[in-house]
Formats: sequence, structure tokens, C-alpha cells
Amino acid sequence: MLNVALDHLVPSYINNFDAYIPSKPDPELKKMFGCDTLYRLNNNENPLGTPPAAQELFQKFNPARAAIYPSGDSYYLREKLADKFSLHPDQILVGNGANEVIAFVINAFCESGDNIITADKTFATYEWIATFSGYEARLVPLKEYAFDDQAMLEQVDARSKIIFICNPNNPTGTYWNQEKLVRFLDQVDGQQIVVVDEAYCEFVEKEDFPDTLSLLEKYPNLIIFRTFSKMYGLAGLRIGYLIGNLEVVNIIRKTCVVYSVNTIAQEAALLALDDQEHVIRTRKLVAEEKAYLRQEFDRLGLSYVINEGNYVMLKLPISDTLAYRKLMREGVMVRTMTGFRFPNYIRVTIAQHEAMEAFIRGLEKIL
Amino acid sequence: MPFPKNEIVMELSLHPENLPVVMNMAEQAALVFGMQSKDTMALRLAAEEVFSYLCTHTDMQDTIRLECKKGIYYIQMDFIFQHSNLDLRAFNISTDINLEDDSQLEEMGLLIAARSIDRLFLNDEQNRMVLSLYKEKSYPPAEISTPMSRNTTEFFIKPAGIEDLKSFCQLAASFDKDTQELPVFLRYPGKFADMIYSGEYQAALAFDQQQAILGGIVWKSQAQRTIEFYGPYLFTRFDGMAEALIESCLEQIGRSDAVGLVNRCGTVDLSEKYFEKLGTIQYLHNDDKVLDITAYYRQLCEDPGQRIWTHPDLLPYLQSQYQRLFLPREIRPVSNMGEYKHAHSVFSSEIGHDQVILRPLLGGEDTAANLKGHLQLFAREKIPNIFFEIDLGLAWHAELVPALLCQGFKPGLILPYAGKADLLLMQYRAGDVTC
Repeated sequence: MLNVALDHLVPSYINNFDAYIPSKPDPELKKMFGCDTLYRLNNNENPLGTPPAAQELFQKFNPARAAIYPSGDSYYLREKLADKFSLHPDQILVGNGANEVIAFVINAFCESGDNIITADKTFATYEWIATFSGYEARLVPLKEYAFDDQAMLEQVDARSKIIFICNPNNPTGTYWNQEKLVRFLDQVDGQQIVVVDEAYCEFVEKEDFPDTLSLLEKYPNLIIFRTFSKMYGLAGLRIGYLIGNLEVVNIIRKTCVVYSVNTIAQEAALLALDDQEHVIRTRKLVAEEKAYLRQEFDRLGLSYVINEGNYVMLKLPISDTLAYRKLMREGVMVRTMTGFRFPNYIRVTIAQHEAMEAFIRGLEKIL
Repeated sequence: MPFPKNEIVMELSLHPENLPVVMNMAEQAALVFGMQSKDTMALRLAAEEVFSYLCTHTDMQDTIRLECKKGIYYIQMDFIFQHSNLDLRAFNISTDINLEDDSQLEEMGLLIAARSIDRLFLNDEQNRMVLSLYKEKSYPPAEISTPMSRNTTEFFIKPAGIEDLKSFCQLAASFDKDTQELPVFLRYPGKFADMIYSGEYQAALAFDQQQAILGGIVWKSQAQRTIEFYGPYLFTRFDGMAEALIESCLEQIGRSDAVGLVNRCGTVDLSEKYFEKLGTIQYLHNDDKVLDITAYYRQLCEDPGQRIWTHPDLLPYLQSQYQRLFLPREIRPVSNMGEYKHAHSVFSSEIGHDQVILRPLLGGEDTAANLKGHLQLFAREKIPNIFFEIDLGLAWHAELVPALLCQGFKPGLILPYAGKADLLLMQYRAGDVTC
């Protein structure tokens, strides 16, 4: 018998929380499913990988530097981002992936009895971190695959501290335009922190996509999340950041874990930011392959949700988790959407044409 | 809002002179928790038999802990004890019984206890044993009426109030009166409402614009890795309603830590759009009616694969089933190569009204004989459905397979992730005994 008084030690909100189990490494999965190759179309990584300059950095990195602590607050990266966006460096906090900065914000503003508000069918980490930190996550149903601004406002009460908007939304790819976001911020009227998670903003080319940086001065309760994991191809290094009003960010800084971002991640991010060609190449590939998938889905008579971002959602005539297992045998790994509360949908990351063709071949075989 | 926890706990020595204390605890706890007199006396009798049995058949020196738990629609009384120095053979329900001698059957305390309540089961929890008595409250049955289909142009799904849940039950029972395929708990509206209130079960109901109930789906929300569900039950045919009810259930449990959703009622035509067929078992009713029960399954997350253990005799079956189900499994055959075995096997018996589920607590040299003893006892008790659960995640379970096969058990269903790994449900068929 375990000689630890877990009943007494563990808070109820932890007992009631279900741990997330990530997928096994590729070699294990290939062995288990009996496939020789595996196209990873499940995590929305950039199919073109890391920008060339960052790749060169990895090859030249002096191993002796691994013994030295990194900059504790990503000093040079914040300077570079501040310069790029015409901000003060202290308006930026860098974290070990955007997931870490979500925790910074929740810890900074929530206390027992508080709640956060987000959508039911969106990136799950806002809900998870709030819940396992002991705060209520109020989940508002999407409306036509998009965040429902009015329904979210209706959920606000005196204990609502943060509203999380994923823009564009993962997994539906829908987005609020500048006008809608501004109207929403006006209605919130500074009473809550409004987080706009722009993890996929670099994939959006629509002119009415919000210029959130320009709104910071007028709306000091606005916080913007960005990441280097998607467009910049640094998912394996875990680096993301938030931007906000100086006074607000100074509050969040109190909950920030310093030294959590490693040296290579900071330096690779610095180099990646300069590579606009990488962004253009990636956007071109995503646009072309989305068009290919749209045509193939139409041919197969399948309904789909294709909007912004480097991913698409597809509705299947069978269970998405069964489709996952069948597709794995064909060497294609997709993301099931039952866990996103979209039963029978899969989300597919846009990748090179060879991978997309393999996916379509697999799909035709299993359906 | 969850109902307040209510428990009564006592520790005492396992000594016959403490028997009245145990009986009174059972009775008083049942009264305090709102059971009717008849149910209270049933629990008291079961507690008396179990305690007496433990005093007679074990040599426990330690104290025993008794816990009575209020479950709103049931009471559970647990007898908890360390088993470090205990001869577990006492927990074979057929232990020390001469099946040819009727008078000895009357001495079978555990069986008498099981008969007087709804369920008796034994759990081996690391170094302690928990013997549980489970007694449900009595409720009036649903009033059966002539069901009427409604003409409607629209439906919507929303959370249901208590009266809605009770009405749903009445409708379900009325629509089911000819087929008699509804789970028993759905025949008692008050009980169903209490099951939902207890938080153990959840339901989604479909309504029309006049708030009339059109259908519903029910699931057990507090299961661990596999969630059992019932339905969807449709009281009027409406395109998309079954799918909407299923999706409502899936959306509510999609982010839980449950791995799978299973339906073992087998009476509903579940669309292949959402579910996979696990297999079919034959379920015998006491009136000799035989029902083919198909189990449906749906995984809720991406299967990471796992290792399972099997006896070579079951390897072809498991390979074909896992291939059919597209479940990635590393199947490791095991067989005894002369290593030490315990002399005596021990099985726990979960006894319900018309079925018993055997689970191995310990393998041993006498597995076949022990199984035979159990089967003879269940035959005498006229229990029509006998199952044996093999946990494919435990290598020593695989060694029981030859004895099970020769005693007439056949593989029936694989229940993914229902145990340490997958569970193989083996079903006894009297005509298949080969030894």
C-alpha cells in the first residue's frame, strides 16, 4: 500500500483533473502499428522545418555553452522583438513554449473562486491550466465554428478574470477581424484581461485580420500570445512569448519562471525572426496543399472545415479514433478531434505534397 | 452539484462476540441513509453472514475496518482487511463445501449474503482486501402506458431536470414493454433520477419545442477508463436525433481521462458511423430466453498501443481480433516452464441476479479443480450466465487459460483498456467442457 496520505495531500481539483497523455515517439508508434514510414500530420508543425539560418546555428553550436545558463529573461530576443514591433522590451515575456505563458497569466490574475472564459472547442490548454490550478473554466459553444463574442460576454461575472480567444481558432481556423475584436474589447471595457492567442497568425494573409499590436495602447487589458513553434519551425525547442501593456506585463512577470528558455531556443528564435523568405515559402505551400485537399475532399464527397492556419478539419463517416488507427497502419498520423469535442472529425496538418497524397491514399483505403 | 459525502466507519476485532455490533452498524447505517425496512434487514443479514464467515474461515489477528457509504440510490458496506497473513482460499465462494450435501450449502455464508443483496464482490487492492456488499434502495417501477409518437419538425438537446428524467424513464419503459430489452435501472424512474443526482450517471435528452421528450442517452460518468453507455433511446423517429444524442454524449466525455465508450446492451442499432462492433455474447435469461448481445465500442482518444500477454492457445483468437479491431498490440505468449506455482488458486465472484463474474486473485496448481467447484455451485444455484475476466495486461492470468478452456469457457469479447490492459471476457458454455 502506498504510504502517502494522498487523500489528504491532493487538492480536489487535481484529483478531478485528467492528465493528458501525449503520443509515443515515432519509432515506438511505427513498431506498434507496423508501418515503415510515418507522416506526422497531427501537431501542426511547419513542413518546411526550421529556417536555414537557425539550422546553421544548430550545427555550429559550441557544446561548451550547454554548461552555461541561458539568459534568464531572454534578454536579446526581447530586445529584438521590441525593435521589430516598436515596443519596450519589458512589454514582452518569453516562455518555454506558449503553454508556459498561459500559466503565467492565469497565475498572475486568478485566485480561489475566480473563473476564466473561453470556447468549448478550441486549444485545450487554457481550460486545462485553469482547471488544474483550481479555477473554473467557463466554456462557451462555438457559433458556426467561430468564437461567439456575445455568448462569452454573457458568461462574465464579478469573478471572471481572463477571457481567452484563439485567433485564428485551432482547430476550426476561423478568426475575429479587427472590427469584431475592437467591439469586443470595448464591451469588456477593461474589466477582464483579454488574451488573444495568435499562435497561427503568421499563416493568415487576410487584410481584415486584426493588427493586435496597434490595439495595445488603447486597450491595456489586451495580451497577445505568439509562438515560434508553428511558422518558425522551432516546436522541438519550446519557445513562445506574450506581449502586453507595460504595467500589466510587470504584474505577470511576478509569476514568470526565469531561466526556463534554453540558449539554443533563444538564439534560433532571433535568427528565425529575420527569415521572411521562410514565411513566404511556407504560406505558398500551405495555400497550394489546402487547394489540393479541398479538391480531393470534394471528389470523395467528404465535408470539411478549411479556414486559416496550416491545418484543416475533415468530417468522417466513421469514428475518428478508428480512422486514426487505420491511418496509422498506412503510415499517416492525424489528430483525432473527439478530445476537441468534435466527434468524428480529424485535423490534418498541411505538409508537403507527398505527405498529402499519402494521406489521401490512406483515406481512400480506409473509408 | 455533487451530493454531500456521507460515510460511517468502524474498526473492530474479528471476533464472534462483535457480531451484534456489525449487524447493528449495517442496520443503522441503512436506516440513516434512507433505506426501507426490508432493504435494511437484507443488508443486516448479509453483514451478519459475511462477518460470521470471516470469523470462521480466516485466522485474521488484525482489526477489520467497516465502511458504510451512502450512494443515494444504494448503500455499500465494505469489509476491509490486510491480507498479508491470510489464507485467501477462504474467498473462493465454493471453498470447503461438499456440493453433494445440501446441509452444507446452508453454511455458505458468502452465498447467503450475496442472495440477500444486489451484489457482492471482492477486490484485491495491493496488500488489502475489500469485500463489498452493495444493496440498492427499492423504488416503484415505471407506469407503463401506450406510447405515442409525436409529430415534430425540430428537436434540441438540453440538460434535463429531475421530472424530465423520470418522464424519460416512463417513456423508455413504455416503448420497451414488448421487447424487454431496457436495462433494469431504466424501469425505475425514481432510481434513475437518484443515479443522475448521485453524479455516477449522466444523461442527455432530446426535446421538441413543446418540451416533450423525444429521446435520450445515458452513460456512467464515474467509470475509470471505459465508460458504459445506454441508448440512444428514440421515442419518435427524427433524422439526425440519434446522432445528435451520441455526439452530445461524446462532447461531454471527450476530454475526460476515459479511453473508451462501450455499450453492452446490444439492443440498439448503433450506427457504424460512430461505433465499432466488439463482438457478441449470448445472454441467458432464467426463462430460458436467449439474447444475443452485441457490444459496441468507440475509442475516445488516439490509441498509443500496449503490450498484452496470452497463453499460446489463445494467440490465434487474439491476433485475429486485434487485426479486425485495428488495435495495435504487442502480443507476448507466455507459458509455464516449470516455475513455482501456488498450490491453491483463488477467484473472486461478483454475484448478481442472473450472472456471476469470476476474477482471478491468485493462480494455482488447482485452477481446473477450483473452477469446476465454482461451476458446480453456480449450476446448483441456477445462475445462467457465468463469465471469467482475464486481464491481458497480467502475465499470470494467461496461465489460467488452459484450465478455463477445458472447463468450458470460450473467449467472448475483448474490452479494450478495461483492466490493467484489455480485458478478455470468457463465457462459460456447459456443452463445451473438454476435461
